[in-house]
Amino acid sequence: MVLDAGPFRVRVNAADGDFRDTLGFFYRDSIRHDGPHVVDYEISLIRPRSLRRWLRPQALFEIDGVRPFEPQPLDHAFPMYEWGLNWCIATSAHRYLMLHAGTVAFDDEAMILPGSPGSGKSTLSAALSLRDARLLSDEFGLLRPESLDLVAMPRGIPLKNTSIEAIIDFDGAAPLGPTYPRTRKGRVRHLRPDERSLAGQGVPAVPRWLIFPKYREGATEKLRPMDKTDAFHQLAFNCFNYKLLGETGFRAVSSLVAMCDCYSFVFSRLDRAVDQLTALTRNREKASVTRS
Amino acid sequence: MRPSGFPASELAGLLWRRDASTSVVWSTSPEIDAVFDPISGETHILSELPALVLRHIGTEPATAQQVFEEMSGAAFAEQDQAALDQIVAALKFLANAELVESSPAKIP
Repeated sequence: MVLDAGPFRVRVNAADGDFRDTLGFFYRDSIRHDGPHVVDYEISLIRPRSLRRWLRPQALFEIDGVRPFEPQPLDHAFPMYEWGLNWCIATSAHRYLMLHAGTVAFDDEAMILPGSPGSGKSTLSAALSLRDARLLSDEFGLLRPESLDLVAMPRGIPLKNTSIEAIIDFDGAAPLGPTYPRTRKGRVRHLRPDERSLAGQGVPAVPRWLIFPKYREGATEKLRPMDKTDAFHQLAFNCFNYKLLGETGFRAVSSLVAMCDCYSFVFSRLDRAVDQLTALTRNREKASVTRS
Repeated sequence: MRPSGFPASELAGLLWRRDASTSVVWSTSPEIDAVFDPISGETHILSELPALVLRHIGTEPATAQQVFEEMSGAAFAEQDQAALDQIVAALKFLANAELVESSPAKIP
């Protein structure tokens, strides 16, 4: 099975029917039926030649003949594939500046949501994509340093633990895949990217807003303008390959911060958060901004 | 008369300069006080005063007072001592980050 993941083409070899069905559920519109293909990553999900082939069956992730991870339960094949592909990209795609960020686009202007695990960037990206925004990515902001545009790579968004219920409360019709209990990140369920986002895989976006989210239970939403030097510092910290890219990375991050409106954003309720961020894109002067 | 509150050696004993053989890369935006050192590969986030000092210091050795006068465009006077002390502190910070060098002044 060959499919497009943004700028990358992936061949996936897997015999397990449940995994193939799940892959089809999420990426039906990205699966290539023509051929032959030159692929960026050749991924195989294989079953070990041991007792684990039958007893509590497991699956192994293999990339170009290398098995970088421990085996996982066979019924966790889809999240293992998703995280494995993230690993492949993070360790090889250094022609891009890779931001640890959710990224969405309003028309062709991008909102970048950098943050550490637990900041709420994936949940916010999911909620925004269920409304007016096109999903670029929930995990990787792929920036071309030479042009400073963001490449789209819409994939299933892994919602973790209480974020699952938060998205269901936000949108009861959200297209969610199976629940995977007891993964290394807890309970996980993926949101399928919508057709608009998948159709826009080849359409880059120009960075316009840089929003540093911080989920805080019970907090009132506060969107605060951010000092550019602080924004630079935090964004560089949230780049996978900032140091590796050296001067190119430095110039790209500083240019990106310079061209964006930068904010810190504390939130607790998704509906209010989406309203406030969407209002920011429609009319910056009328957005509700709390100045410190 | 020696200004109070500061060892004489700090004022009279050191010359400061940027290393002429290296050139840091400044951020593309004046709103971002950050520099990249291509020799070490390090990025330095600077607060406002060290950034101003670094922008004004040259490759020729200069005393802290001379750096002050370059930055302020005016001759040093007694009432500028507090500002000079802050510039010295900024120079020490930049020296620790290996963005400037210090050397003893030549004994006449």
